[in-house]
Amino acid sequence: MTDPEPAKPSTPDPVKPSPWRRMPLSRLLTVAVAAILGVAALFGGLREADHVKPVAFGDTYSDGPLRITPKLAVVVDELDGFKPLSAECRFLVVRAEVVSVAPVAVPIGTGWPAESTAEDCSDRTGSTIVDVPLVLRGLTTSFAGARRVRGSALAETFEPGFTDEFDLVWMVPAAELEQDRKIELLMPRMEYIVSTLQLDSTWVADPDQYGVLPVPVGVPR
Amino acid sequence: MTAGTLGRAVGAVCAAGLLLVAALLWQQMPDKLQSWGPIPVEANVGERAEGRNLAVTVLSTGLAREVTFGSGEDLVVLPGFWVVSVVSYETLLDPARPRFELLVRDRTYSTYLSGFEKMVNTQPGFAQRSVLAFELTEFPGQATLAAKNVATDRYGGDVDAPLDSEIRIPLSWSGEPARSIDLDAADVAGR
Repeated sequence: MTDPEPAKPSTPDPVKPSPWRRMPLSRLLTVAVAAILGVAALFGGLREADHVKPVAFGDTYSDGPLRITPKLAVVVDELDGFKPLSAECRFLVVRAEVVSVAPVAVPIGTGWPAESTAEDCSDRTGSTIVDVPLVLRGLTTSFAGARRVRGSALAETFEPGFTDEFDLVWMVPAAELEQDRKIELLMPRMEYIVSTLQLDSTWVADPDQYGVLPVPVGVPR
Repeated sequence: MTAGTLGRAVGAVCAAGLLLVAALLWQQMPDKLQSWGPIPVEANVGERAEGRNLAVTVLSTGLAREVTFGSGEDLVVLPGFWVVSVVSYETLLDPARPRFELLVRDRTYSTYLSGFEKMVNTQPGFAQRSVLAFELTEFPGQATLAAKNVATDRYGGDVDAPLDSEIRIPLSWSGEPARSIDLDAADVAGR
């Protein structure tokens, strides 16, 4: 009779490493990014933010087809080439140099004629970004038009290749100018596209990408 | 190579070829403006160019360093690089109004000095003559005057009249530009 074979000592089950330890580094990074994005989204951090570029007088802002350099802003009671306003209204004028690098004309926007009534400075233009290169925000406005400084002709478009100074004129309530308001000139990015609504090509403004020029409340008179 | 493998290879090649053909065809498809936009009609200065619903004649054209209009205290003097043309415009089938543009190399100029601007729709058969003045950044060696009809879409916007014609008339000049052109006189002379 042979002796039975001695029992082999039992070896403990090997401890399985954590899944995180087994995971390749590249996958770890992917998981980490996904987690961060998920948490950010949970707290609303992925909402599209406006791309805003601050602009000061003397700076040049490019909106695509135009290079706009605001020079100054003034408030006046009367303006050559425009009918007189009623006592409730004033002309707010922003002078800017505009260089057009577009191959076609860029429309400035339709001006409201002054009628010497309080309606002149009612909210006819609005402050939301529409398909024009310059929008005034922060007070009630009616856009009166643009006048090219050279020759004093009213302009409806920025023609291709031209470099000129323009006076952009808005009619605003005198009472609002006395208040502590944050007045800004918005210059949205412009793009020339085939319109989906019209049988035409047209300039459209990007409401999320624009330059912002603060216009001082106490503008010189 | 087995028959099965060969069959799959042929299938893959055919699929890739179909995708390539589809992509090439897609790139050649006309866009909305090409399908519905006005069709060019060429003519020369002095000739009556007839499209579907418009007829245009460039009666005269010239370059000027300055244009004027008005008189007395209301005289407006605008120095610059000007292309001035006296043009006759007429609709043929339906009432319409015109839009004029000047094509110079890769730029398209519009005009704020057009005798046609205040016109309401022109009735067919009644030719209107007036003057156009385009301001440019420099005197061109040549340019093309483009004329088309304007329609109003359902949203109230002005658009090129669909399926109509665009008259294109090449312009060229010789000699020195004029010192000044009186747009009122040019308009009267055109009549």
